Amino acid sequence: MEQIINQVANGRPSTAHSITIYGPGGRAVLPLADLDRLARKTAVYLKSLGVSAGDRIGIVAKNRLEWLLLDLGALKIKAVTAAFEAGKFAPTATLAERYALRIVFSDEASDAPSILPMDGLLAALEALPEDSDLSPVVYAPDDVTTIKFTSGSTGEPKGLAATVGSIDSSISATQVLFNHSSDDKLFIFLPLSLLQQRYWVYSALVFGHDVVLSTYQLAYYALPREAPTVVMGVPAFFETLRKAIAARVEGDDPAALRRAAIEAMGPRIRYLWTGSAPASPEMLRFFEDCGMAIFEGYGMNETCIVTKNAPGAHRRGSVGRPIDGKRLSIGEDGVIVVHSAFPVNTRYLFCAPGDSERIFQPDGSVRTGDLGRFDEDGFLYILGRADDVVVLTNGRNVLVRSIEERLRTCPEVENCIVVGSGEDCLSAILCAPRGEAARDAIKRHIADLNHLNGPDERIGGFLIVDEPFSIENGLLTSQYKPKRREILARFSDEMSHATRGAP
Amino acid sequence: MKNIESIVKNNLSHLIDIDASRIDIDLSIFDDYSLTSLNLVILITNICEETDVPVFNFTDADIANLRTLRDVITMFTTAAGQDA
Repeated sequence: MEQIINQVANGRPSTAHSITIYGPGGRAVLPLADLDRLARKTAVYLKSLGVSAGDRIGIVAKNRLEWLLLDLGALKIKAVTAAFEAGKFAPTATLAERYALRIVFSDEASDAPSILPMDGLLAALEALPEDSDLSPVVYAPDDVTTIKFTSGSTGEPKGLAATVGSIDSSISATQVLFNHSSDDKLFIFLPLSLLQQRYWVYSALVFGHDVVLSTYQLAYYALPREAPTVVMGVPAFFETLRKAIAARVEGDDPAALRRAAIEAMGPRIRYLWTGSAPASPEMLRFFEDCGMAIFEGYGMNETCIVTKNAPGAHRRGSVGRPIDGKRLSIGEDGVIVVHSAFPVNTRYLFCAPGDSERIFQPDGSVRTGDLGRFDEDGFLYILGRADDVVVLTNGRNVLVRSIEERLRTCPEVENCIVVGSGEDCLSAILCAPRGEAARDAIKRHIADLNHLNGPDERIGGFLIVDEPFSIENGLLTSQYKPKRREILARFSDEMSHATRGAP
Repeated sequence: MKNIESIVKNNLSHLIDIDASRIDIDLSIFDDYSLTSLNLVILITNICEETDVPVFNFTDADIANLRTLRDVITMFTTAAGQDA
């Protein structure tokens, strides 16, 4: 395993590669050596503010250069970053107090004395001498560099302190699979508050390749201009891109679709990375048909990357094989348990009593709550969440995720959930942009599915809603997964009528 | 340059597969046309390409304040220095 974090903290990257940053101010290119130089100055700046090893600094901001400088600067003095997703957390004195933060940096204005504006950081660095002395730091595998926050379905977000061993192990294992090297340019746009996105900057610094950092608002603009070799995304991003590419082409001529895909992402794509949520088979096939490999994987905050499809070890529909340092077992209840050579951690921070014990097992393994199976070649297939199981009144357990995937193949259906109906059949809540105008087409689709599905998988009744499921209205998680409980609660009154109108 | 309203309508019609003539620019792009935040980003990006308005012209707040296609048209018209 490579000593990634120690190299990032102490190393001097080559001048051959660069980071390109897209943000509200425009596009900027910075050699990685300059990024490291500024990070060293940031470390000195943090020390001048009284930050020392073990202190926590909060970051509440969208993707930008200063975000990275604070993260890298903190690594150089063994300070711990607490990474908060902008828009979900407000930079307030309460935040600083709750999470014991010495200072909070934010791109939002605040009157609290413990909140510092990011806008002033680069100017503050300019005032510092070029060659500031920084003592080398040494990280042990159990040391912590950052705290990430799990979204959770209810209550306050829980904290999770990530160990150096887990970060080193994940990046090293990924490097074995994908061999990111001098010709590569990795494109990242998901929030840097998600630790995995920072991995690719660490990877650039250690293994020597280019990287592009964008806000998600500028991602579709930046992609064709930067011509990356790798795009680090999530299914919702690629699904939106798929529809946009398809909309540019009359008909479904494969060559025309390939040209449109290259126009959208540039001609150098080596592979597309997707994870965090299930990818639809249609989306995966679309990009493969466009000549772009797309690799689905599996992991969660508590485990980091667990399995990954990769060149030479790819099976569509699976989430790949376990990466180095991970071993999986599947319990009698079908739930996947992850054993890590270097666990992310063995408990949550800032959580309610019992939260840690529900997921972290006494032996350090993580009970994921996801149902899975392996095929004969060791590829993992995710069957759904344990709480995706609906128990019918006839006592049968039905895993509804695959049924939901089939419902979403109807062009009128943007999203859906399948739930129990209090009877011996299932019900569905379907989000359709055209609302009731789409009823006939949806009804035909469900009738076709019911004809093919087993008796326990039949949809008895359904409700069409035109309100989109979105993160903003609380019906999707931050990973774009439908929130079953919230959707059911939102439409429970209408649902009670819909089930009586079964097709 | 083509009329911004028609560019905006055409791009939305391609994005959500709706006849441009049926688009009402005063309806909500989220509630009535069910755009996700990623859909909106790609809509804005495509309109920028077609109108030659630099995407960096718009702040996050500009985008966050968009509610209807009329808002989108106004934003681009202002950026392009045209009269609405």
